[in-house]
Parts: sequence; structure tokens; C-alpha cells
Amino acid sequence: MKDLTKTEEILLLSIWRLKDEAYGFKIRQYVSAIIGKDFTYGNLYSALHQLTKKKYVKKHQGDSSPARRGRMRMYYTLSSSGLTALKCAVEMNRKLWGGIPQYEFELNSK
Amino acid sequence: MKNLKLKPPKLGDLILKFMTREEDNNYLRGDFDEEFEHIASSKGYLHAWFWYWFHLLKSLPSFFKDLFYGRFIMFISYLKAAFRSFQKHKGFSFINIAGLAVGMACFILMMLYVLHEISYDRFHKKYDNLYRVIRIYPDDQNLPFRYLPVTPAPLAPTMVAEFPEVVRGTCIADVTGTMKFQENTFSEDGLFADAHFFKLFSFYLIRGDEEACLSQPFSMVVTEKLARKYFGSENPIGKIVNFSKQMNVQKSGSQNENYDVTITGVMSDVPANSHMQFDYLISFTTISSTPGNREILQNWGRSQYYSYVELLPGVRHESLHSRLAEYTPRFRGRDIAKYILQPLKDLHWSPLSFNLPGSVTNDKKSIYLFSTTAFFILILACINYMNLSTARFSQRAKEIGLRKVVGAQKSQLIHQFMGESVCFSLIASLFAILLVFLALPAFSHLVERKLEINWLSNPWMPITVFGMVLFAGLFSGSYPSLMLSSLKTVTILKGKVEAKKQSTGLRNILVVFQFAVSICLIIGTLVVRQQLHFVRNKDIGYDREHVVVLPLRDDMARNNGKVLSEELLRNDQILAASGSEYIPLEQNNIANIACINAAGEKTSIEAFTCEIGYDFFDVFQVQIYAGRNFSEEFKTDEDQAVLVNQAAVRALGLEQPIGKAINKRGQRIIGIVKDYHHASLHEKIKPMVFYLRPEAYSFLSVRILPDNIPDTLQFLRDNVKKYSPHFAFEYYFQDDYFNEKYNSDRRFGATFGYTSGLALFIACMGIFGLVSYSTERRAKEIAIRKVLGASIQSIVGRMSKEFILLVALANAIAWPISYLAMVKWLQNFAFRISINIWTFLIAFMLSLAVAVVTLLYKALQAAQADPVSSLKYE
Repeated sequence: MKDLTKTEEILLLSIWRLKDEAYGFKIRQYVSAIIGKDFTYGNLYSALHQLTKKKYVKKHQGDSSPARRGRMRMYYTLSSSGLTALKCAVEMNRKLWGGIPQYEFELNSK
Repeated sequence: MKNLKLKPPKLGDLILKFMTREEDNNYLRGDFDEEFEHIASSKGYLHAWFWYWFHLLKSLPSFFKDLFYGRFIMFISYLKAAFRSFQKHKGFSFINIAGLAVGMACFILMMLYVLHEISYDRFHKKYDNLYRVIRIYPDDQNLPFRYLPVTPAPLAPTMVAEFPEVVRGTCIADVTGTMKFQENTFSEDGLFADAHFFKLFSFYLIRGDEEACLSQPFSMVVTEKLARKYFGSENPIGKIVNFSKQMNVQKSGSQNENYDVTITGVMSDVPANSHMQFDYLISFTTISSTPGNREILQNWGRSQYYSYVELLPGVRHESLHSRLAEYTPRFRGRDIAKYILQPLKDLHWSPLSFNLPGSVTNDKKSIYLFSTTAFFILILACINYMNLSTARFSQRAKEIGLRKVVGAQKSQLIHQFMGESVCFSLIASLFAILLVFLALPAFSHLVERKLEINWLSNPWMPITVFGMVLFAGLFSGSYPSLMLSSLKTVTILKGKVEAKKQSTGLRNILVVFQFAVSICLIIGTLVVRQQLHFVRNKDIGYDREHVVVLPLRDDMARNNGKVLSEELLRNDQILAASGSEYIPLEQNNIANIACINAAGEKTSIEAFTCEIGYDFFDVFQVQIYAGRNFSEEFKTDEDQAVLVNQAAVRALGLEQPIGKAINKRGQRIIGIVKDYHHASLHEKIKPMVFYLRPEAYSFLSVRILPDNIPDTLQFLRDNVKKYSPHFAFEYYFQDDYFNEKYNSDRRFGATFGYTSGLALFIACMGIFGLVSYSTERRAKEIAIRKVLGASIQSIVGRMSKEFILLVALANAIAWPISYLAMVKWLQNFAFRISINIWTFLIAFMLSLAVAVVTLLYKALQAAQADPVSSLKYE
């Protein structure tokens, strides 16, 4: 299995966190808040397309609202392989970060 | 109301629709709308609106990336398919591309010419505000030229002073003179120009001050070319050059002037697309500093100068005409001429050319004709491409069928084939550009322009070429792609690709059209050649062979014309020599001749007059029809006798012309000259009157023996030099001069010849494509016929019959059109051939022969093919 890119990792985590709320608008807001800068729809949909193609996420059409002028929401949920990929990423992160004492990290960052 | 206002921008929505992947775009637009609403409700509409656009712009790069990734893969597949079919039909593709490339090369060459022509004088920054002043003579004056570009010298300064709209004016005179610096002596063409010259015209001055360089008398500005010729790499500023003004043959009476001039400036060479061509400028004040011309800027009587004025921007030049007409009598007293302004942008299209070599004008109609022809040729080439590729694409029917089965949409197929033909036209255009580079020198010679390809300085050329590639690709791809994409999948895969009936009909029409065009051009070429042949061999009434003409420029040579000719006659190679005011084919004076005619009435005609020496008619071997020639035995001939030609006798209505007195001075007609063509064959023979003038000529004509021409010329040079030490020896042969007069006709013929060859080539490609298509289609039919015992001849005959009919039809269409066109062209000549039926038959035979050769190649191939190969699948 290929390693996830940072963007993919963030997106998968966000989708998992948002649960029933995981559709374009909400995902973008959430991700923008996390990374601290504007994450554009262009980037979002391009990344979501790739994730769908790799079968990490599943999508299903949902409801609409008056603000959307009748256009449906597309909801994304993690697939089982998406979940495995995330677990792998967490494992790798733990290996990477483990063994670095907190104080040393803070010291060096000053 | 408020709700309406809150809607997201429609245009943005539309952009999103087209810029995003189809499967996502509905949801994406929904997200955009939702966020818009969200921001609008919390921060206001304006904020939301800004967010929407800003975010859209920010997203665009990734939209692009996303969108083209998928297309790119398809593009590779298309490229592969195109390349494979190209490889499979190498010969076919080569012909296809070659035909298109030749057509494109022609188009590019012709457009180069057209763009060059319309670029005339545009480099002047004040292009829109500059005007040349020209003179018009009133209608009733019966003068040969109603318009003249020359004006009196004080006109431009006076206009600046009198009319507030006129910002600046400059006065220019053309001059030819011999420049001498150390050992270098050459005859050069230049201008007298005043200090305003560089203010009006945007010629670039490399060294020197724009105003100061031409304000002092005896100062000169030279072009880089001239500076290099005389001074090499040295700085020319401050150098002193001896200049002797050559007397103008046409304007007799002016003095020879010789003075030293100082070089005060260097300018870059005059661009090829300038209506005035010159190599140096001498300050105008030089003219008024020489004896005899002091009052030049007050002299309204001498109209020899070009006047150019600059008007304020936005002023209509027509508004000045009536005021000019009102004012001029004040300037000039009684003046029969009027002055009008001619915009700089019209100068290249006006027949009034600048009187220096290299300054050319053109006819606007010929440019229209040229660009139409260029476009026509391109369309012809495209039609062929269309024909050939329709035939070729039909062989790819299986590919199309398969693509359709796998889910290709009609629009995708259209895109594929369109894209392919644009690619082909791009490749063809590269070949075309190569061809253009090869053909440019010959073409430049043909159109007599210095054409060059500079892609960077002239933005129109790349634009034209790009437009051409796109046009050729889309136009020629349109028909095959539309036809093929609309075929039914099932029938294709079953293997039955039958082009619809009407499509062959359309193709036949195209081939007929192409052949008709080529036949018209062939007939045109033949008629032009016949007429030129006729002109060359027509008995023009005088013998132009072995006549050397020497223009005399030095006063000393002019006044000693008689002594000079006597000296020349001592050489036994020289048969006769005579001076004259004009020679045949030179422009003449016109005068009114009055006489009492046979019926006793007073008649008056307009006739050309010419002063000649005793032996003029011997030199040109013109026969005396009645009476006698001028003779030294009769002392009274000098001022009491005239000779007239037969045309004059007819025009005057005389029955017993010999001895008749003409004009008030009572000169008597002593002889009648047999009519000869003094002017070119474009014109009728006009009445002519000859006066005797034993001395002072402008031309010396010499009849020589053809045996030892170089020695004879050397002898002439030595003798003339004695009387004309300051001028280079000039001479020409009358027959060369005669041929030169028909240069434009010959060029016309050559252009016709080249284009007809080309059109025939393109038409052959057309018929080749058509035959290939039909043999491909009828392969089985041919095989069955062969199996059943048909001979090769009968099969070839069967295949060819239909095409020969097409060529015959093309002839039937082309004949009347070309007949009418050529009759119109022949009307330019007063003496012309009548168009002969053989011309048409030759064109018919030629087109037929070429078509048959093309046909036979393919038809024989089809007829000789082994029937098994096309029948084994049945």
C-alpha cells in the first residue's frame, strides 16, 4: 500500500471526524481551519477525486438546501481501505515521533 | 427583492460549469452557493460576492490541472491512431500534406506581398496627419494629365502661415547628381529638403541634429548605405563632397550646377515600404544659394516641388480644399490649377508616383485581386485535403465503430478528426514555410519588391500564418469529421461503409471547380503569351534593332550635337546618327495644330510634336510616305517646314497635304511620314508633327552595325565623354527599352503562368484523391469483372469515363468565364489579337492529358491488382 500524502491524510481524517457532515462545504471549512489557510474548492475536489479513484472514500448523494439552489450535497465516508491507510499513517507517525522527549522538542523549536 | 440580490454571480456559475469535471460540477456549484449564502448572511452580500470571485480565481489552476489530465490521455490515444493511419498510408498522407503545403506556401507568399503593399508609409508616426499637396488642372484645359504631384516652392510655407490647421509643411525636390569624394564618383538619387523634413517624416537620424542638419546651405544628410559606400567605416560628419547636379532631360533649360557640400548628418536607410526612395538629402537653402534661383521661395511660377503638410489631428483635409481654392489666386495671381490634399495613406495607391527610381505605386484593385486569389488557392488546397482525407478516413471506419461501441460520443469523434486535421495542417505549414524561404527570391523578383520575412517586427505575419493553419485545419477537417461521426455503428462494424450518394456528388463538384479554375488560368496564360508575342513581332513601323540611344545631359554635349554626330559618323560601324528632342516610347509635347482643310474649313487638332535632326528617320528607318524629308539643301526647312504623319493628315482632313500651311507661323508641310508606333501598342497611333532642329538635343540616336558592338560602344563613350566630362556615360538599346515597356504585361503573364501550373497541380491532387477513393470503394466490383473476363483496358476505360466527363464539364464552365475576362484584359491594348478557338482547345487537351495521366496511374494499379486479394474475404 502506498503512503498517504499529507493532504490525503488531512482529508481522510477530516472526513472521519465530520462523520455525517462530511460534504464539500463543511470539509473545506474544517480543513481550512486546521491548516490555518484557505483550502480552495479546486484543490479539494481534485484531491477527493483522487481519493475516490483509490477507493479510500465512498461517496453518496444526499439532501439539498434552499441555499444550494436545488443542487444536491455529495457526502463522503471512509471506506475500509481508507481506514487501514489512516492506521498505517498513524503507525508511521508514532514511529517517527516516538523517542523525542517533549522538552527537547520545545527547546529546539525556540 | 432582497432575495434576488443575494444570488451568486451567474457568470461565475457558468465558468464553474465549464471548468470542472462533469461528474462533480453540480455538487461543487452547490457548495459554492452554500458558502456564498453562508458568508452573505454573516458578513453581507458584497463580502460574499468578493469571496466568490476571489475563490474562483484561486481555484482555477487546480481546475485546469484536473480537467486536462483525462483529456491528455485521450489525446495520446488520438495521436497514436493518427500516426498509425499515417504510417499505413504513407504515400497517401505524403500527397495530402504536400498538396496542402504547396497551397499554403502560395498563400503565405501572396500574403507577404499584400501585407508589404499595405504597410507602405505606415512607419511614419504622423501617418494619419500627413498630406501631399497635388495640383489639378480644370477639365476644359484638354491637357493630358489632370493631376500632378508637383507644386510651387512657396506653397507649403504659405499654407502653414495662412491656415491654422496646418501645423507644419515641407518642400522637397528630387535631384539626380554625381557625387565625388576623392576617387569615388557615382551618380546618385536624392532630395532637396528643408529643415522641417525630419519633423514630418519619421526617418531615423543616426547622427546630427534633426533641424540643424538641413538648415544651412550646402549641407547634406546621407543614408548609412551611402556613407558606407563613400567613407567606409570613417565618420562621415564634416566630410566635404563635390556634388554636381545632373540636368533633367525632361526639364530642359536648367543650368548645370556644381558645388561642395558638407555632410551634417547620417540617417538609417529608407525603408523599402516608403513611397519616396532616396539616398541623400541636401538642404533646400542650397537651391536658393545658387545663381539664378535666389528667389525660389517667392517664385510661384515654377511647379517642380513636392509639398507635404501636417494637419492638426482630427481635421478633415477636405475642409481645406475650398479655402485653398479661394486663397491660391492671391498667392499666384491667375492660376489655372487648383490644389488639393492627398492623405499619406492614399499615396501608394495613387498613380502619381514620386519621380525617383525605386519609388513605386500600385493599384488597389490588384491587391484585392491578389488577396482573393491567395484565399482561393488556399481553399482549393483545403478542398483537396478534404477529399483525400474523406477517402482515407473511410478506411478507418472500424476504428470509429469501435470507439463508438466503447462509448465515444459524436462530439468526441468530431474533436478527434478536427484535431487530427489541425495537426496535419500544422505539419503542412512547416513545410510551407520551408517552401516560402526557397521561393522568396524568385517571387520577390516577380513582384519587383524587396520582400523579407521578419516574424518579429511585423506582427501580422505570424497572425496570418496562425489563422491560416487554424482555418485550413478546421475547414478541411469539417466535412470528413461530420460525415464519419454520423455513420451508424452497426453498419460500420458489419463492414459496409458506403459513402452516401450526395457526398460523391459534392466531391465531383469540387473537382470540377478546381479544374475550371486551372483551365481559366491556362487560357489566361496562353492569351497573354500570344498577345506579348504579337506585340514583339508586330511591325511597329520603325526598326528598333541595333539602335543605341544616348541621353545627353551636359549642356556642352547638347549644344554640340551636330558636331558630335558628324564625328561619330567617321566610324564605319556607325551607319547613321541624329539628335532629337524625344525618341519613340518617350513622352512627347502636345500642341494644337490648326489648318484649313480640304473643305475650306479651319480645323484644329491636338498633336504630339517632336524636334528632330536631319537623319532621324534614317536612324529609325521610318519611311517617308510622300513628299520629302528635311534636307540641308533647303535652308528654309529650319523654320518654315514640318513633316506630319498619316494620322495627322487624316485628323486634319487634308486631301493635298503637301505644301499646306499650318499654324499662324505658316510652316508648310513638306512631307508625310508613314505611320509608326511612337508610343506603346497600348495606345493608338496619334497625330504627330515633326520640326527640324539641327542643334541642341536631349537624345542622340545612333544606328550601328551588329558586328562589333563592344568596340562601337567604346568609341561612342570616348566621343561623348569629350563633350560631357562631368557625367557618367549612359546608353541603352532601343529594343531593350521597347521590351521594358511591356514589363508589367510580361510580369502579369508570368504570374498567370506560375499560378496556372500550381492550380493544375492542385487539381491533379484532387482528381487523384477522387480516383483513389473510388478504386478503393470499387475494388470488389473490379475484381469480379476481372474474374468474369473483362480486359484491363475495358476496366480502366470504365473507371476513367466518369472523370473525363468531369474534366469536360469543367472546360465547359471555364471557357465563357475566361473568354470574357481575357477580352476585358485585351482592351488595354489598342492593338490586340483576337482570341482564337485553338487557345481553348489547347487548354482542353492540356487539362485532359494531365487528368488522364493522373487517372491512369491509379486506375491501372487497380485493374492490374490480383482479384483474389480483394475477394478472398467473401
